[in-house]
Amino acid sequence: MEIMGLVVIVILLTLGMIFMVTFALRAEPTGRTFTPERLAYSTMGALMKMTVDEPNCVEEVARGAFPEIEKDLLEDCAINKDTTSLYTCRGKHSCDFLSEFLPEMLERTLGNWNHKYEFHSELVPLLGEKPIEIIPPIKKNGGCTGKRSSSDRFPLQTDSGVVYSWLYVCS
Amino acid sequence: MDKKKKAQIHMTETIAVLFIFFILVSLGIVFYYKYSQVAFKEKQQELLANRAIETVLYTLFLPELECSKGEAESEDNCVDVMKLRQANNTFLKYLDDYYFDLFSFSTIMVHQTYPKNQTWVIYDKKKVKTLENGTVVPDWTTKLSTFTVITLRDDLAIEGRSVYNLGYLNVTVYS
Repeated sequence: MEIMGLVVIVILLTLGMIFMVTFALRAEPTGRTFTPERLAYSTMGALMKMTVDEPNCVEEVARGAFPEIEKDLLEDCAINKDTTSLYTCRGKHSCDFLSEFLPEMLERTLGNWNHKYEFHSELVPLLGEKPIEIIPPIKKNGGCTGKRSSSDRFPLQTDSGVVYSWLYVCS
Repeated sequence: MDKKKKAQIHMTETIAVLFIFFILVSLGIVFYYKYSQVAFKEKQQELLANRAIETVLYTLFLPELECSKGEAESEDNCVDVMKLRQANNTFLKYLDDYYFDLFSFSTIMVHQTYPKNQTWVIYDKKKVKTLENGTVVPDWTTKLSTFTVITLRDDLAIEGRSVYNLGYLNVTVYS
């Protein structure tokens, strides 16, 4: 009778240990490439700061200028969203140019590393009206719905209000 | 006779219990060994990831590469192209004396993606071993790559102002 009890204990302990080892072995393997938490922030910082070198991308007043994305083009898009823009990169309005250019730049970096991302930019007018999307959201493969790293909002003060831009990055 | 038989049975039971006890202990040791192996590999991966992050941060804040602004704080996530062009010479010259202590076995590359594609290899020290016949072969078991998007400031592209190109820093660490 005692031996029967011992046999039952051995079986139970063996099962318990098998569960434990199975659980330990099933732990998610770390990938060969990993995403630093600050990837969204560093990407956004670089993107907003970069200079555009495109044909016809000159301000009428200051010839030969190479505009920066945030300081020049995004501001131009926010102020002149309903009129002719100061900058005409690739012969387009600043807002249209950014809608085309930003996805290209994101694709050369984040897209190249198979990351999904979501870029937003909206203008909060001075009189406290509803925010206006000045650039349609840029999403790769449906954007980020679950766990994601955020760049936080990059504010830009303009004469039309404050432009907030932000980027989400996920694997 | 009855007593003898009882004693014999009792002895047999004791031996059986001890036998099962030692089997349990052996099973426990085997399972703990397997679990430790898995836990060790995970810890190795975690340490490698930490080393990769450290290497990225060291690189981004190196005075030999960062976009300095005189006495003011340097720019975030920015590499100066003028410094970059000379960086490889500097790193090669002091690789074993100084930079190996910072970066250990790793490869650090800066890639420019806009407006033109360009690549600079700043530091390259892979873990290798030399065989008896003189052949050099890799000696690393795991490698981990990390990418950080940066701007590359070029002060010579246009007279009187800085131009910020887009690129990324690729750091690969080996263990």
